[in-house]
Amino acid sequence: MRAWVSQALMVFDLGVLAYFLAVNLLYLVFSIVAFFTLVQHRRRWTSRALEIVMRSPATPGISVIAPAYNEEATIEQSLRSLLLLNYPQFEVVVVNDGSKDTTIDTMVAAFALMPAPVVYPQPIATKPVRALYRSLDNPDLVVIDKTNGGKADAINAGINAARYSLVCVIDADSILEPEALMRAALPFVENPNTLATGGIIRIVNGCTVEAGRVTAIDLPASWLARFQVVEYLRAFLSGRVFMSAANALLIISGAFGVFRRDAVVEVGGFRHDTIGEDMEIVARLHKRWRDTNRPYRVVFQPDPVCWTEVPETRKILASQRNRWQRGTCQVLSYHMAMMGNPKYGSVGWFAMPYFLIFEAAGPLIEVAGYLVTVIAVLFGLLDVVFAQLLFLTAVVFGAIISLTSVLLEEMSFRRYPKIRHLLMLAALGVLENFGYRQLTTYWRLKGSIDFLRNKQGWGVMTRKGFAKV
Amino acid sequence: MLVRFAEAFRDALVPFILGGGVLLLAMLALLVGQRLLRAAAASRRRVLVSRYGPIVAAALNSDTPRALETARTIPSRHWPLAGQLLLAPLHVVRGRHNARAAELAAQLQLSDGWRADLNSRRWWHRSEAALALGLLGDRASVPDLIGLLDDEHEQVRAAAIDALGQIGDPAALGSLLARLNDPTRHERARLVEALRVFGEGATAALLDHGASHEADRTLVATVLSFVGGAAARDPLLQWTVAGPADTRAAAWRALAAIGPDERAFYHALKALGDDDASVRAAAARALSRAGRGDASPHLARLLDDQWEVAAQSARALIALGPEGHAALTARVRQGAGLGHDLAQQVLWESGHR
Repeated sequence: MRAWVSQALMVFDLGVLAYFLAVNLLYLVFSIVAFFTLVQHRRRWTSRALEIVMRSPATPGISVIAPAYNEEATIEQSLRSLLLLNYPQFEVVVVNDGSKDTTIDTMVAAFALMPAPVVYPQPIATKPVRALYRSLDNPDLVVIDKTNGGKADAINAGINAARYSLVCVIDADSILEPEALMRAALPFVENPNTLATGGIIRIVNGCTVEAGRVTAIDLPASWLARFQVVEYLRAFLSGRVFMSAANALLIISGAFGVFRRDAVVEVGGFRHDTIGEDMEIVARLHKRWRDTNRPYRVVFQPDPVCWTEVPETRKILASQRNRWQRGTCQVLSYHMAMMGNPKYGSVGWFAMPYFLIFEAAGPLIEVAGYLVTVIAVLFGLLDVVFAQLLFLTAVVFGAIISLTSVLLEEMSFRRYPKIRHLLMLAALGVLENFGYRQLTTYWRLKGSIDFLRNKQGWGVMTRKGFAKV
Repeated sequence: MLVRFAEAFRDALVPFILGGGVLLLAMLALLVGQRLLRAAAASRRRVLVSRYGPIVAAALNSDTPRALETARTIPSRHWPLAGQLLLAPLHVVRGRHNARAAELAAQLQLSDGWRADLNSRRWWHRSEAALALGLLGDRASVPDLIGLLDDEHEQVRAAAIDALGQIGDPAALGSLLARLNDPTRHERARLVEALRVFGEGATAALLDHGASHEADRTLVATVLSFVGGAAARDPLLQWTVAGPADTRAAAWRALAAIGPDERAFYHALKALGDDDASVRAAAARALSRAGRGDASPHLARLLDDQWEVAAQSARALIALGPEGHAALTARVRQGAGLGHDLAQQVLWESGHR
């Protein structure tokens, strides 16, 4: 009996081990490919080359769509920074999604808004638009006031009202760097088959923000936020750069993405019955274009920077991770038809299975691995030294991958000014294996379980606002 | 079997951890080391820039031969840096060539280096060299630059387009125009910019190209709307009469940008009755630039046409002064419909409530 249990445990453990090796090796491959992609990328677009393209009248205009729900504390400042963006032809469309606070009054007072007739065609069905405002101070600002229908519905309403052929979807509370729009628009200029691009999300906690611009970059004071800095670098600089190179990018972060308006309209806009609408729309674009056999690409651009505030308390971070996890699971379940289907190219045979195994099921496998190891040690089936060695291996492997992404950042963008920052980032890559990683795994596991039990809802993100901290 | 595998695995763990640890330390050292090296290089560069910057600036701006003489004393290993200092101010005054810059570049053997780099194996060298020669206005390298228009790397092609535009040698116009059909908008954007630097001189060449390549006419008309001069009016007007609808519409848009004359005005009135909506819309847009109030009744009739046409008509009416405003107000009084909404909107936007 004991021998049998021991055998079973060993087989299971080997399975977990295989998973662990696969995930780390994959990330290593991601990093290597990303390295070459980033080096190429950096040589290509100097600021000056950008400027020449951007001064050209042939460059497409962009409508920036910022959905706002109860953002009275931050809306004025974030709008002012949006209107400062450096791009020849753009407008900002704020969609007030039936806020219950004074968001709309704040904007009316701050930007001299005047009601204007709603006379544009609305190809995507949304909750009714109550009013349209234009700013007397700034001709590039449009505000739409509509009944509450959720973020996706608000984005759709904004897309309906957009004047230009490209739409940029952002969170009203994130800060775009002045050059971000230009850099995000480049793939569309280069290749008209581009359907969507996303930029890198960087963490603003700890940085100095003045008049809607990040003026000094520093690491956050809170440890919880610091861990996320490394996490984001890893996800964006290795993960997404690779996925984009394979034309298998499945996520364009809801905090900052640029889409071709006609493509989004063609697939019917963002879907409102999901919490992962940013991933869902990209999956749908892939599906539609592969189904109709048209050439296309979905691109991650590593240099347009969007600064965003991340949660600093465990409770809010937990609900964010739970939401992300449920979103991923939902999107995968909607698009099961693409899973493993070679008809959908790299998305079908690589991206979808990758997300299923390592994102949706990953936490489950990891937690099971921890549990089984503990049980095995308790019952004397596995000796303690071996378990410790295994854990140490995991830490070393994880640290190598984290440090690789810090190196990638250093080779390509070098945003963190001091050597102290680099050392801290390197240390974080090691430290995160003692607690933070397990915490996020646990939250994601709960997300997966909640998805299986069919729970909905957003959770609350309270913001401090960017007023100088 | 499994047990043996597990044991082999276990034996591999310790070396892996040690190896990984060493790798980690090496990466850390690389991270810190390169930062320190970079800092040292940057401060060295600052010293050199402060030493040579004034010398190069003097050579560019003063007329005395002595300034050039002084520049010649820069040691040859710092010539590339001097090259960068030399090009920096030229970026600002794009297209205006500085004879002294070319002279200085020749003296420091920079121009020769750049000309040689046009055939470099590394694409970024080709691209940088092309841009530099463009800024210097180096006519001798025009044939090579034309060759680079077909380079395998898009950045080099773009740089070549840019450089040819800056040099402004009419000999290159034909090759530039041949690129008009290029699939990437990125190059087209640069091309338009390059033709713009050419100025009015490009208009005639563009028209010739349009006359002989019927398929490119839409594109040529679009480019003309950005760079065209008065000389383009008559040929464009001919293109509005016959041919496919998108060419006619593009020609009207170009005429709108250049500004229609007397003859174009009457043709535009006639085009308001065209079968194709995009042509009607473009003609309405052209009329908005004609500044003649007597177009108002014709435009007012289109206020309930398709949205694109109606919107252009409303915009045109608001631009035509009192008669246009009167037509719009009349349409608002008539009540509901697309025309009503559009008229109300443009009146509101221009402050007539």
